[in-house]
Amino acid sequence: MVICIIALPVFALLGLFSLKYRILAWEAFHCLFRTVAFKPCNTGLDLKIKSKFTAKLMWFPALARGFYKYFAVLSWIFVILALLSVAGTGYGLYNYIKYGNCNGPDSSAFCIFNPTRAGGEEQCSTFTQKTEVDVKKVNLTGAVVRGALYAPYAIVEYGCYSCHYTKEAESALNQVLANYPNVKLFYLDVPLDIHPYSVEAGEAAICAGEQGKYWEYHDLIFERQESLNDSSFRAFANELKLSVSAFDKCLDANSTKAQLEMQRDNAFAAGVYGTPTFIIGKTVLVGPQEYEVLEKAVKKLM
Amino acid sequence: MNVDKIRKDFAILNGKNPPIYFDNACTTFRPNSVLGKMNEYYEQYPSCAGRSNHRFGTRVTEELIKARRTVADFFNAKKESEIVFTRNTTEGINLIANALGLKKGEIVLTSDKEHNSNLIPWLVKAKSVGIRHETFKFGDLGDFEKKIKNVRLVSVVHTSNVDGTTQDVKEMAKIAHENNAVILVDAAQSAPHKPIDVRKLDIDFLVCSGHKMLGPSGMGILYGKQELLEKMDYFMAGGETVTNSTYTSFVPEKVPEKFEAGLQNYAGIIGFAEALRYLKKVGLGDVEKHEHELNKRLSDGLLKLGVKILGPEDAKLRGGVAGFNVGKMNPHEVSLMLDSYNIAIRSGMHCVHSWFNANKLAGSARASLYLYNTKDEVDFFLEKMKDIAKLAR
Repeated sequence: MVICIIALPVFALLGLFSLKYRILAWEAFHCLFRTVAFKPCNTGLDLKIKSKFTAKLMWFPALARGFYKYFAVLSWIFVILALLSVAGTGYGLYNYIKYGNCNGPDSSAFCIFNPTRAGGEEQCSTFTQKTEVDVKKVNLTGAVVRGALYAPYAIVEYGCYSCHYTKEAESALNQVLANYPNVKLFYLDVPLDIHPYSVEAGEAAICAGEQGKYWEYHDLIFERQESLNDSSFRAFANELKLSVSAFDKCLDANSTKAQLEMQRDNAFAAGVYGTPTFIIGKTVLVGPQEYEVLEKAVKKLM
Repeated sequence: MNVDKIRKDFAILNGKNPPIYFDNACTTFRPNSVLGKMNEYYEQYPSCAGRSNHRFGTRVTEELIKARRTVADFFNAKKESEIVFTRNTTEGINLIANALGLKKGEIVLTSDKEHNSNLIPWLVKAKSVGIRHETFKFGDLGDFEKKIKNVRLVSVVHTSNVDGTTQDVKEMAKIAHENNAVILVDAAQSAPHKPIDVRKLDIDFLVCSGHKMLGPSGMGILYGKQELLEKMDYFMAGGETVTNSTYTSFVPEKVPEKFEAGLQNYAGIIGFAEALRYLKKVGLGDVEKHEHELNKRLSDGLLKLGVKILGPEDAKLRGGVAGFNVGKMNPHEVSLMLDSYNIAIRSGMHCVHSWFNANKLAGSARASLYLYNTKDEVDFFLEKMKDIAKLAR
């Protein structure tokens, strides 16, 4: 009886903890061999499964009768479903190992193995509805470049300094930039109102950039993201030996605020609904990504 | 007979969710008195009988004598020495098969519905010694008379474990003796349920098992007429089967010790005797009547559901046993489903493969009742059988 194909792994697993199930696993093992040889199961395991389940269903007699009568057919259905499930799991594992995403390349669907990363379901957003990101509408005005300015390939990142997912994305992103010198990063800050200090941090970074220390300031904000407070930004400026008066002046300037607002408006206009969002050629990735995912997208450009 | 009072004597029937146990033809529950008596041996005098002179040895020897007397009384044997303690019915039959001195060409006659215990020993002897094994139709005295000529040993089951029907062993014994044959009765299924008087039946040997009659497992008895036992050879030899020995010779012990080699299962013997005392106190006649009543209720209920009963439909002819099949359902399915409702019955060929094979039956389900079963249990069983029977339609 084919049901032993399912019974064997189930009882073998339970058998790790109980002798009762070890005996059943042994019966399933014998039954499996006989089934493969087109012989009827002689351990009685199929009868046990059929009878016990039928008895449990007796509270609804029609269901019990149906189960009893079509047990062989149901067994085949369960076995086929189980085999499909095993095949699907195997395929997912293969994808996960190869692409870092169990759903395969270019997928942004939910992945049970990596729910917070490869699937891109998790991001910082004020939008309740997800929108389609239009690559053609990406506006790089105000973007800060990391890496070689003349590098032929680019990753565009929309991030937010108070978003822990943006912070989480940093490691893999920096690794890609380090390993691929012909790739540069365009970073566009999109401060979200839901996060405290996101606007202040964005403005402070712009002002640090005016003194040539954007990326040092950028890295410092993410490093201390959890402890940002009113005095953090000036303290960071001091730590990076910036001119505090120039820094303060910049912070007070309307142009700084305007630049940030413009970046945010541009991002929303392009359909960006959450941070971090990566645009690599025509590939749009939302949420923190594994190194392999970013690398694969970059390689596609080359 | 007060069933409620009886049920209080069984620990297993007084716990939470007590089982509905209808597998008494396989083995029975044990009353507290039997367990207590066995514990008493281990706790108070765990020693050897007939060997040691100390107080423990003396006590166990006394208990052994008392136990043999109890068994002899229970079956109305002439002498206590006619009772041999064995492990079970199978060992008793094997003892006869090996110690009776059967020779090549001699005929052993059995019915066609014997438990493997009363079939395989003769098939083995047919191979090893060259005896002839023949069968007659179970319960058919005409067929029995036809086959009895030149038979050395008649070995028959008293009550069938398949369908509960009983053979007239008294008449068989008479016919056997008229034809110079000896008769061995397998009383495994009759001794627990009805009074047996070996002298009235005039049978030569009787075997039964303790575990089917409230006693411990691994304990049985062989009754044999003194003069026949004395003529028999050893079955197993060794400790306690001789009175003296040299490097080249030995002096055999008298019966029954001659057949009780090695240290015996004293706790089992003492427990078995206690079980017989319990049954005697309740009254086997009442037990038989109670089983008939319950079996009638159960059988009538099954017949109403369209279930086919093995053997006669009249429950009176089947003691406390109801063998049945539900349509074309596998009997194991029936027992497995009932087990889900805490009802224990037996299914399969009940170690009587030969009869089932000859009748082209895959087996049967079997409910077997005993003194502690109740009408309510039978009704609950029938209620569940009603659901199960619907599956077969």
